[in-house]
Amino acid sequence: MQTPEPQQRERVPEVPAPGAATEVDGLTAATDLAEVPSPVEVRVHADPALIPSVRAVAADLAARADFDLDAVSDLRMAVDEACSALVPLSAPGGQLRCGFTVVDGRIAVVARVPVESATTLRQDTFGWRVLDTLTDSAEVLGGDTGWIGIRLLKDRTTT
Amino acid sequence: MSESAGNGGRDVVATDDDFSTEEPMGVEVERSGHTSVIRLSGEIDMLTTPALRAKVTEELSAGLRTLVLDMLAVEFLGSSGLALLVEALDESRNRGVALRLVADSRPVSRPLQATGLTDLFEIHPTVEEALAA
Repeated sequence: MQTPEPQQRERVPEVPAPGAATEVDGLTAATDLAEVPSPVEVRVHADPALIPSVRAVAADLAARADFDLDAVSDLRMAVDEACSALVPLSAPGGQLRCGFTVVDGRIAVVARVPVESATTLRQDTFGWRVLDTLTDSAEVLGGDTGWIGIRLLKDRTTT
Repeated sequence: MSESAGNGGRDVVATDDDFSTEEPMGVEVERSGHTSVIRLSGEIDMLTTPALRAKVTEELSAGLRTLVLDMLAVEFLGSSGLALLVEALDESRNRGVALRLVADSRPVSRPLQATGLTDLFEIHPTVEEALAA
């Protein structure tokens, strides 16, 4: 697999680069979103009140992986945004699951919630634009009928 | 920061009862004449933005000339908070109110910078400077 080129930070929506995140977390399109093998996984009730705990874990992992302070801040905000977008889509009583893989100065995050029926996630919102701007890659994982997710990739250094 | 204590009409609105966590955000309003300072603290996210929006809307409807948002004690600013700032800016322009932000630390300045919003706002390092501007 090729080393991905650094992506340009532009104001226009980018084409996600799934290959870049796959290199970090090994997740393929065929992976069952309910059980994603990650070294670190946080599972909480899909409740907005618990999102602060999930984003705190993301920031802690990034800080320990020697991310620069802006990158830590960006990841915390991106994970907050991903969780905030997903939680309202969750089936009643569902669990927000957020897996983190840190490899070679990059963090891949797979956040997802169970859904009652196939659901899409709008990418024309202010929130998605923020998410896209703050990360090196952001994509919706919608191939699974029972779950919907967002995968993020963030590099240790900000440009 | 004791300036503009004014009528002493201090108003503390933390969060609504239906929030299950304890006071993740604080909002204090000090109004003096045509100037209002809203002092925010804690985390501004999906959970806490509605309470903040209510306060900002109330102040913007109060016939002010200047509204200062003191964000020095804010520890987290999520996209819903950013969206609220942009809404407040639009509304303040419609109403002819000068909106000034007070921010000097990463939890606020980085989200503004990363999303390219910094230049939209008038930002001061202290409340004193915002009031004197």
